Amino acid sequence: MAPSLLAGWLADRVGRKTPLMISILWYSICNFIAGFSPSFWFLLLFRALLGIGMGTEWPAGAALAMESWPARSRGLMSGVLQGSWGLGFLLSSLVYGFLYQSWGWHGMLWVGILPALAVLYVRFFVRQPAVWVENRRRQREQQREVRVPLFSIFKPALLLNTFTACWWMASGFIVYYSIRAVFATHLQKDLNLSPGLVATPIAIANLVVFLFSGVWGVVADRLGRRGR
Amino acid sequence: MIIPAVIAIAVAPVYLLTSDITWIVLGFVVQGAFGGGIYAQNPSCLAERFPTEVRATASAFCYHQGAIWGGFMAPVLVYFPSSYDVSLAIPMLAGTVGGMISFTVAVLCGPETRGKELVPDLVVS
Repeated sequence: MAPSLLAGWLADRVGRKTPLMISILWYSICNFIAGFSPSFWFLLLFRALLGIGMGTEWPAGAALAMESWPARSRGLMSGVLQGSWGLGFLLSSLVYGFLYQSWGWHGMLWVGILPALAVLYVRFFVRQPAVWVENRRRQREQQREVRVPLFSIFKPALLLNTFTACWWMASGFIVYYSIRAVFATHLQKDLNLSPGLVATPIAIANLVVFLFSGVWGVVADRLGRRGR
Repeated sequence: MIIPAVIAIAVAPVYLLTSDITWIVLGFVVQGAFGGGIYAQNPSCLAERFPTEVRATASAFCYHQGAIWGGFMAPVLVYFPSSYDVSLAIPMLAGTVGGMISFTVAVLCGPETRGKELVPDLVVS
């Protein structure tokens, strides 16, 4: 949580691009180094470090994407962005299926360096959102700098908003874990299904998650974010 | 987000209260569309709820504190079958239904932000 708050602070103070690039580089390199692991503890260390980079990518990336996209179809873009976790899981299972036999787990981890290419793209082709640039300029000009945004979100004007957003997010994560965390274990232990049979519904569901996140994005643009 | 959340409540028992592999596969895949679709507006709605000065920090805080609560769920889910004579499906069902109800109420308590323009105005301070 602390690294993601640091990324949020950098994104608000220095710009959306900086923490995004740092986090992508961070987890790509950690993955690559983990691919050379001589021991279990080395592997564990670098996979744990990798988690820091993963957690910090989202706040900066989401703000950047949402500020850069026009309001009328922002819900769709939001769905595509968020639903891509399903696509990512699907891709990783494909990499596993096709390459694990020949490349082994070292090779799997080396593939993880590929996202680093995205840093080049962000560096040279992505602009800081105009909204952020102008907001930052006004903060300096009027000397009304928001130095510690983390305190500001608990000010009376924003407190209720922050609270309901936290409640909404917590509920979402509880559902996520309830549906997925032990589903594979449930099938294998309670119903004695083989691991191969278990992988199939999960892989298909991941694709469905991606497709329908786009669908719900369109619904959100038509009927509202709350969906009614 | 309320529409998929409510439908997901109905889908959960389809694949959790059966041992028929066809219903399990079918139900879980369909749950991907509804239960897995409730996150579609996380980026947009979080971005639209907070002013530009604090947007990324607010998103990071709300999102990751949620992840911590979610992280407690795995041990909780496993606790029930180890202590009582129930399968994992029962706590999974309870977590999904309870979580979805909580999700729906939380979304209703929050603002509707469709079509909101993100502006550079100074709001905080």
